[in-house]
Amino acid sequence: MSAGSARSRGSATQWLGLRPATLVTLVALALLLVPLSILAQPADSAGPGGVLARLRSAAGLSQANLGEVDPTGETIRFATLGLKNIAVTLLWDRANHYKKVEDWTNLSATLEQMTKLQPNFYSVWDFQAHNLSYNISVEFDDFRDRYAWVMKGIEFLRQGIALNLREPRLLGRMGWFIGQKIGKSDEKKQFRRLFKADDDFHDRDRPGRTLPERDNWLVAREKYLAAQRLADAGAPLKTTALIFHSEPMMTAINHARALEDDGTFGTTARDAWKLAGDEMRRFAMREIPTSWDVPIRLGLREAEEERAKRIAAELEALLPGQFAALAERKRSALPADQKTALDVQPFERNEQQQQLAAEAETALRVTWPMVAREAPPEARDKAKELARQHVEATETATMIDRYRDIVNFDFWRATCEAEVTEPALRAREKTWEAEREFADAKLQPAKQAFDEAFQAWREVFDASPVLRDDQLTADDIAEIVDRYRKLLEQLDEPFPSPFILQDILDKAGPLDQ
Amino acid sequence: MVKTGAATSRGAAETDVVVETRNLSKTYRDFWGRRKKVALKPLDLEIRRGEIFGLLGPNGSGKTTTMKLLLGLIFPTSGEAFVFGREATDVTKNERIGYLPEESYLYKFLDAEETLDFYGRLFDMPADERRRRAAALIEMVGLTRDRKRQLREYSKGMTRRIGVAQALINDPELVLLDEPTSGLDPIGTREMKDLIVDLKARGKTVIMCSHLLADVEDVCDRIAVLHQGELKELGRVDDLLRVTGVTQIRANGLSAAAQDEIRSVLARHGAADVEIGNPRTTLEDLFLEVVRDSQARPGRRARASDRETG
Amino acid sequence: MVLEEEIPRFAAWIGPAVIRYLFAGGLVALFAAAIAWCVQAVLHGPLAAGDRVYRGILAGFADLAGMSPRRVWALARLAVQESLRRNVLVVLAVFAVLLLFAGWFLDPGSVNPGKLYLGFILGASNLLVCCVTLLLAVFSLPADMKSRAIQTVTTKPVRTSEIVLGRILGFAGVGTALVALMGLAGWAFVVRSVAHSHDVAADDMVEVTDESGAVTGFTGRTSLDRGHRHRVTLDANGQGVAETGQGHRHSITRVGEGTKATYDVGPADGLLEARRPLRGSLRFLDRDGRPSTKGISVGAEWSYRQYIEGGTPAAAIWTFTGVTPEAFSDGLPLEMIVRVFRTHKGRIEEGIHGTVQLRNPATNLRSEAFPIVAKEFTIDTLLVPRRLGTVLADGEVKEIDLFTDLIADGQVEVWLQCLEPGQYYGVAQADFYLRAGEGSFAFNYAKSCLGIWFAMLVVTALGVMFSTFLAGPVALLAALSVVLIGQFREFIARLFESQVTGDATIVPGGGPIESLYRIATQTSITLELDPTPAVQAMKAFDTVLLAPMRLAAGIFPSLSALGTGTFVAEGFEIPFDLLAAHAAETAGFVLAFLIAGAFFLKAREVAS
Repeated sequence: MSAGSARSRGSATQWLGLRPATLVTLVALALLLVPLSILAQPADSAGPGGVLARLRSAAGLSQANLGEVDPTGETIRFATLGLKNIAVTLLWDRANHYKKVEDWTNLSATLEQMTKLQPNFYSVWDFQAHNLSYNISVEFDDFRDRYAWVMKGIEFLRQGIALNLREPRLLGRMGWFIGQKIGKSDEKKQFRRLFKADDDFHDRDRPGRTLPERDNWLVAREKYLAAQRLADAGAPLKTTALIFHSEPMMTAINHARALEDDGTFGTTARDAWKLAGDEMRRFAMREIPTSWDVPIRLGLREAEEERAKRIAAELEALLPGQFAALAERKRSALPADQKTALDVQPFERNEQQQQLAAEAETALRVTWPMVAREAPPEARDKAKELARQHVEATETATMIDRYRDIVNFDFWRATCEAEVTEPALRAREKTWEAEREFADAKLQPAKQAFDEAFQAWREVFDASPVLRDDQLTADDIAEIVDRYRKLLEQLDEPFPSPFILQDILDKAGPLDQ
Repeated sequence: MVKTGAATSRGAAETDVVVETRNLSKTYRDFWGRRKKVALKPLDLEIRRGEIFGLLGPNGSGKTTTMKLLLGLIFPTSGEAFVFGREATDVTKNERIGYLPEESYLYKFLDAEETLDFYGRLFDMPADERRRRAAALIEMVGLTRDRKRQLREYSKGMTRRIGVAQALINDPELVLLDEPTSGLDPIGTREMKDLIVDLKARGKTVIMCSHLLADVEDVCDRIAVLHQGELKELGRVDDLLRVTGVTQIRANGLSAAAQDEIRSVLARHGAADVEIGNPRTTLEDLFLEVVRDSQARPGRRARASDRETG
Repeated sequence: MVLEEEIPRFAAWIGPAVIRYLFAGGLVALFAAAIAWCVQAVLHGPLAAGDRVYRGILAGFADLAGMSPRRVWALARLAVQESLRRNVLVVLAVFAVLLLFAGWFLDPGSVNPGKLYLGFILGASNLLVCCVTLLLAVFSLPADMKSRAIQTVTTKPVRTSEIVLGRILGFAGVGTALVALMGLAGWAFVVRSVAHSHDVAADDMVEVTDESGAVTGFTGRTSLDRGHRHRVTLDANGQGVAETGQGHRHSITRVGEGTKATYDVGPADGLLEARRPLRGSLRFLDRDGRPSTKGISVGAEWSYRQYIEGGTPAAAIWTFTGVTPEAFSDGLPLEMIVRVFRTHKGRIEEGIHGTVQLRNPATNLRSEAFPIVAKEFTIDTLLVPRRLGTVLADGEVKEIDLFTDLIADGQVEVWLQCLEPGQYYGVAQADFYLRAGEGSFAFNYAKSCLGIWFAMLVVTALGVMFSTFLAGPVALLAALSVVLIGQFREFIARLFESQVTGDATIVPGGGPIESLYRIATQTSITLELDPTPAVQAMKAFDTVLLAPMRLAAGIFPSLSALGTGTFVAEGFEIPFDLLAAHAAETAGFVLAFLIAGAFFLKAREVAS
C-alpha cells in the first residue's frame, strides 16, 4: 500500500518534471497566497473588501481616495521594482546636491521625480515647495526671477493638491505661500504687483478672477477657505486646528492692511475691514476641537463667564453665606506659620515662606462643589448639579482664554472692530498721506496730515482699550511719531507738549534704528 | 619499464615520440585547497608517431582526465606532460593537434560552414585555404546537403560528424578523440573506425579514449587500461589478448580421421578441450579481469607486471 | 557652465598620467603575483610556487605577443553573432519606448528644457548601452564554460588574450552600433522636442514713449507655449528679441502699423549651441587692492564662486592668452555669468551694477569701463569693440585700438568690479570667457556620444575580465561593485579620510558598521558617539573595512567622469583635451582589464 502510494507520488513528480523539494515549495507558496487573497481582497460593490482594504479605507489611504491616480508615478514606482525607498533616498540626496551646486534645472526635475515616487507623502510636497519658493528664489537677484521661483513652489503644491484630494494641509500651505511669501517679503510691493498681473497663474487657478480679487491675500484666503471646506467635509486635519482655522481671518486682516499700505482707502478699505470682521466672527463661532475632547468656540468666553456668574448667584441663593463661611473656616484652620507667610508681601517672602504661602493658598481654595458637598441634604443634589455646571462654565472660559492667547484673538478682534470705524480709517489714510507728503518734502501738508492722523488715532484708542494697551500697536505709533519728530526738526518746530498720544508713546519700547 | 617494453617492439620509430608523460598526476581540490578526488595517479606514457593509442577504462577511471591534461585543458598536480616535445599547457602545440570532444561542444547558432570557417580562423588560416578545407571536410563527413543549417538542428550523428570535421580542419598530426563512437549507430561507428584507421594510414597519430571495448579492440595498436586513476594495463592489443597457457589449433581440410588422431594425441596429453587452436580472449574479459583484480588488490599494476616480468 | 576643475592640456596631462598608470598597474600586478605565489606555495611548496608563477607570467606574455588579428577577429565576430542571437536589439525597442514616454517625465516648462532633454537622452542611452554590453560580457564566457564550447576553442592555438580581446571587441562592436543608433534617435528627439516658437498678440504689446510722446520702442510679452513665455522689447523700428528665458531667445520683428501690427517670431535661438570658449585664468584683488588667489566667501556651502566686495578696489581679473586679431576680427565677444550677494536690500527693482575693463598686462593701459548689470544664471554678452576709449589722467577720453594698445603678445586682462558698496559679485574662473567661435551642435553631440562609447568600452572590458574567473551572476555583481565604487570614489576617499583622521566634519556618520548602528539606534549622523570601547572597536573595524575600498577607489574607473553630457547640455563645445584624456583613460582601463582577463583565463582550468 505504502509502496504503491510512494510509486504513484514518484510518477506524479516525474510527470510534473519537478523535484519533491520544488513541489513542496510551490505548495507552500500557494498556501501562503490563501491568507493573502483574503487579506488583500479589494473593496467593491459586493462588500467592504479584505482586512487591508478596510484598513486602507479607514485610514483614507487608498489611491482612489487620495486624489488623482497618476499613471506616470505608477509607472515609475513599478519600474523601481520595490526599491522605491532606496530610489527616494538617492533622489533626496541628489536634490540636495543640485541645490548646493545651483543646478536649478536638474533640481526641479529631481523634485518632480521624487513626488512621482511619493505622491501621497505630505512632507515631500511641503519641504520641496518651501525649498523652491523660499530657498531657491532668494538665490536669484532679479525680483522677477525670485517671483518666478516663488510661483514654481506654489505650482508644485498645486500638483500635490491634485494628487492628495483629502489633504487640507497642502491647500493651507498654498494659502500660506500665496499670502505670506508674496505679501510679506522684502519684495512684497513688487511681488504683489507681479501677482496681480500674472495671467498665467490666475487662468490656471480660477479663470475669471477680477483684478481686485487678484490680491494675493484674497487668493490666499480662497485657498484657506477651500482647505476649511475640505476639513469640514471630513478630511483628516493633521495640524493644529486652532491656527488652521484662524487663517481666513488673518488673510482678510492682512488684505485690508496691505490695501492701506498701498494707499487704498475709502470704501475699498472699509469693505476689506468688514470682510476681516466677518471672518473674525466666523472664526469666533467656529467649533474648535481641543485637547480635552470638548470643542470650544473662541467667541463664547464672555458668555461662559456670564453663565458661571449666573450659576454662582443661583448657588448663593440656594446656600446663602455658605461659600464665605467655608472660606472663613479654612482660613482659621491654617497653621500659624502658613498664616505668617501669607501676611508677608508676596515679593518679600523668602524661599521657605514662598512655599508655605503656596501651601496655604492651596488649602484656602474654595470651590462651589466643596460647598455643595456640605449642603443640607434637601438641597444637596441640586447644589451639586449647579456646582458641576459652574465648574464646567469656568473651566470652559479658562480654556477659551488660553486658546485665545495662542492666536492673539482679543487683539485681532479689537483690530477688526476698530479698523472698520471711521476714525481708524481716517487715521490710516492721514498717516499714509502724511508720510507720502513727508517723503515728497512737502513739509507743511505733511505736518497737517500728521496732526489730523494723531487726532484720529486718539479717537481710535479711546474707543478700543485693547488696542490702547497693545505693545505692538504702541511700537507702530512710536515709529510714526518718530518721523513726525524728524519732520518737526526740519521745520524747526518743537515737539508738542503735552503730546496727544503721550500715553501710547510711554508704552512703546526703544525704537529700532 | 614501459619504455623498454615498447622500444623492443617498435624498432625504427622509437625516437619519434609524439606524447610523453612523466609521473603525470591530477588531484582535484575544493575551493579551500582540500583534496577532493585523486583523478590520476602518477602516469608514465609514451605515444609514438603513427600509433593508434587507446585509453580504456570505466567511467571515472581517469582516461578523460589524461586526455584533458594532454590538451592543457587542465593542469597537472605534479609531473609533466609533453606533446611534440612541448609542455601540454603551451598553446602553440595546438597548431598540430585535432581534438574531438566527447560531445561535440560547438556553437549551436553557427552552421556547418561557419563552424569550420570559425575554427579555421583560429588556426590563422587564410581565407581560400579555409574555404578549400571546409568544403573538403564537409564532403568527407557527408554534410554537404546540410552545410547551411544551424547546428542546433543537427542530429547527434551529424553533430558528431561536424565535430570530426572541425577536429581535422588543420590537418593535424595528432588527433585526440574522446569517446569517438559514443552515441553513433552501427554504420556511424563503422565509418568512425574506418576514419581512424584511415588517419593512421595517412601517418597521423591517434589517441582515443573509450569505454566501448569493441571499438578499441578493432582499431587500436596499443592500449592503456586505467582504473580508479591508475594504469592497470599497457601494451599492444595483440599481446594483451593472447592467452599464453592455451593453444588453439585451427586448420582447414583436416579429415575426420586426422582430427580424431589429433584429439587422441591431446587426450593422451591429458587435454580435456575439444577445440584446437590458440584462442584470443576478448577485450571484455580482459577488462573485467582487470577491474576485478584491481578491486581485490588495489594499488597494484596487476597482470601487466606479471606478464612483462614473466 | 560649471567647471569645478580646470581641464588640463592633454600634452601636459598625459605624461604624469602614464607614469601614475604604470605605477598603479605595476603595484596591482605585483600584488596579484604575490597572491598567486602564496596560493601555489600552499599547494606545492615555496620553490615550486616561484617556478610556476614565473613560468606562468612568462607564458602569459608570450601569449600576448603571439596574438593574431585573424583569431581576434574570428572571436569578435563570434561574440557579435552570439549577441544577435541573444536578441540584444530588443534594447532598441526599450529605448524607443523610453523616448515615447519621455514626455511624461520631462517638464517642457523646466528652467532649461534643452538641458533637461539632453541630459535625459544621454543618461538613458548611457545606462542602456552599458547595461546591455555588461550583461552580454559577463554571461558569455561562463555560458561557454558551461556548454564546454570553450574546450573546443582552447584546444585550438588560441591565446587567452585573444579570447578576452575578441569578446571585448565583439561586444563593444555591438555597443558601438547601439550607441550610434540611440545617438541618432536621441538627437532627433531632442531637436524635435525643443524646437518651438511663440505668438505675439498685438494686445500683449504696448508702445514705449519718451517724454515728448515719440515712440521709442515696444514692450510686452509672447504667448505661453511649452510652459514659458518671454518678455519682449523692440526698438522703434519694431526689431528686437524676446529676452532670454529657459536658456534661449527668439528674434522678433514687428510687421505693419498701429493696431494692425503683427509680429514675426523666430525659432528658439541658443538652445542647441556649441560655444567654443577661450578660457582665461582668474585671480583676485582684495578690498584693499592687494593681489589674492581667492575672493571672499559669503558662507555658501559650495565654494565654487568667490566674491568681490562692491565699492572697493576688489576685482576679479581674468588673463586671456592667445587673443589674436585673426581670431577676433570684430572685437572681443566676452560672455559672462556674474552672481550677486546682497548684504542689504538695495534697490530691489534693479540689478547690481559693476564694470568690466580691459587692461594691457605689459603696459598697464586700461580701457574705459564698460558698465554691466549682473544677470546671474543667464549668460550675459559684451562685445568689446576694436576701437575703444581710455580715460586719461585729466579725465579726457582718448581713442585706442584693441589689439595694438590693449593686447600684448596675445595677452589681455579683463577686470570685473562691483560698484555698489555692501553688495558683492561672485564669479568662478569658468564664468568669463571669450567666445572664440561656434562649433557644430551635431558634432558636439556626437562627441558626447563618444563619451558614452568610452564608458561602454570600459564596462565591457570589465565584465569580460570578471567573467574569465567568475560565474555570470557573480561577475555581474563584481562588475557592478567596481562601477559603484568608481562612481563614489571621491566619497569613499573622503569617508576614509574622515575615518582615519577622526574628523567627522568631512563625512559625518562614520563607516558602514557605524552607519548601520546609527540607523538601528536612530542616532543622528552629526551626534558624536561616546567613545566607549565598543564604539572604538566598531570604528576600528570600519577603518579596516574601508581601507581596501579606499585602495579600490584609487584605481577603479568612474564612468560618470567619462561623460561629457554637461558640456552639450550647457551648450559648450567639448574640449579636445578632455576628450583625448578620456580616450587615454579608456584605453588604459581596457588594456589593464584585457591583460588581467588574459592572465585569469590562462590560470584557470577551463575543463574542470
